[in-house]
Amino acid sequence: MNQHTDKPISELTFEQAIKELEDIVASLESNNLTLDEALKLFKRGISLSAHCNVMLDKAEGLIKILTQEQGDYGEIPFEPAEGETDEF
Amino acid sequence: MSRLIFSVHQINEYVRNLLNRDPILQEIWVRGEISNLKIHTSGHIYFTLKDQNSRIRCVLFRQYKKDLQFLPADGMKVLVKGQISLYSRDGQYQIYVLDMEKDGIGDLYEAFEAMKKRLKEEGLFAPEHKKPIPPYPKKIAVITSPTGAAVRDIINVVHRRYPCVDILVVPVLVQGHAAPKQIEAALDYVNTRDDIDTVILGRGGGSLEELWAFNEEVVARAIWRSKIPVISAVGHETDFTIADFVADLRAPTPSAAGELAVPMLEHILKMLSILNRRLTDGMRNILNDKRQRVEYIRRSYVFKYPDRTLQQRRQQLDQVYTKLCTSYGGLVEAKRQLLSKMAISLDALSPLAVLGRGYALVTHRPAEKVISSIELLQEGHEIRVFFQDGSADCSVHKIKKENWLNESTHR
Repeated sequence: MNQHTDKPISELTFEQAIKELEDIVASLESNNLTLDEALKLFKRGISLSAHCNVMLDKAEGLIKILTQEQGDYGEIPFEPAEGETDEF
Repeated sequence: MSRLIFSVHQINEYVRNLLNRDPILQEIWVRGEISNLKIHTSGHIYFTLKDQNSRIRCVLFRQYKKDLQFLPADGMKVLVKGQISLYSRDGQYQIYVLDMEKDGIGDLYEAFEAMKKRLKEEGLFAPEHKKPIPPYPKKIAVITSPTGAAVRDIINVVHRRYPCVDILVVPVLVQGHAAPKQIEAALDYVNTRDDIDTVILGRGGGSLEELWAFNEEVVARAIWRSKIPVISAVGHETDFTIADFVADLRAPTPSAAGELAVPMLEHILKMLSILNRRLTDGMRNILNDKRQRVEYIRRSYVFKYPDRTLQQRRQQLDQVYTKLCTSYGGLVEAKRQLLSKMAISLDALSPLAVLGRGYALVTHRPAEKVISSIELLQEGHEIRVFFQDGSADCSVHKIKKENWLNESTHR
């Protein structure tokens, strides 16, 4: 159940963090833990939840367009044209 | 030699009648390319249909225009259906067009169906090969035209729903001969990166030819070998391309692809807050539970009021002692009363008391057995008579039976 509790939270993807948080909540709700175990899980759960919130609160994601010059790829900010388009 | 001479009008009419009587010319399909197209103010359309060597005039009357699937334009290769007749004023025969369709559509459909069948048999559409779309992507690649409405729709929808995601637009041509190769290259390129969670491949609506790049085999195979999940979003809801069948998920439109690619931020925030609540509630319950167990023990009477317990025991002891004393006293008294009652009865029954009143008690002798009836006596028996203050030994001389009791009741 708590197989990933050793991994530093900052290295978890959002998906992994949410999954682990769900697992922790489920075991806390099952209520057959010792106080030590419960407190340890609870602390971990709080950190996971905070980590998820930080990821979601991140500033608006970047929109970039791939550029290619003589086989070298680059990325520059992209702003889709408003209004007139060639409709495809 | 007499000559038969016609007017121009007569001869044109004659030829027109000839043409009109020919059954083949009444409804024919002609293939060619449109040129010199003019739309008259009346709404009728005039154009020339040509091929490499020849040309023929065509007219499409306004009332047939609304049935067309497309608006004809110069350079289009078409099949026209119509009747051939002669325009008598100009002496020119022409096609009176009833219907028109784009040339090659049938071939495209056939090619489409054939490839669909082939790729399906090969397993490229197999559901078990389809990869799940990551629920919380960090970066999405959008392979499409950078100038179309599609890219704008996708970006708008994605960022409105889930602002924190990064978007990388990979620009490609989405129609024309170069499109399939570019799309293939773009798909292969994004698969060389490790930061892309989901690919949206698409374009806005268009004709079958305009969407054709998405039916090309190179595109289908590039989607197939992509390790990153691909959402296809080609044209409108009714358009189905090979790319849609191979893709891991088909979105009916580019905007819909945006919706399928990312979750709603508010839903996730809600889910997170519910998880948070459950986390703290769960911990609180555990703490309460443990605390309750401690409290239960601590609050038990002995622990809470040890003095009172002792007092209570003492009081209880007192009560029992009192009760014991009371009941012992009562018991003695009762016995005493019983005894005196019995003594009185005993006194009344005592033969000594009877002897005091002048009666005597008679027994056999020497065995002192009480004699209460003459039946037990015979003449000559030795008897002893007891009085209040002594006894006398006597012998029986005579026995006489009397009925004292009955007589006394009769009296």
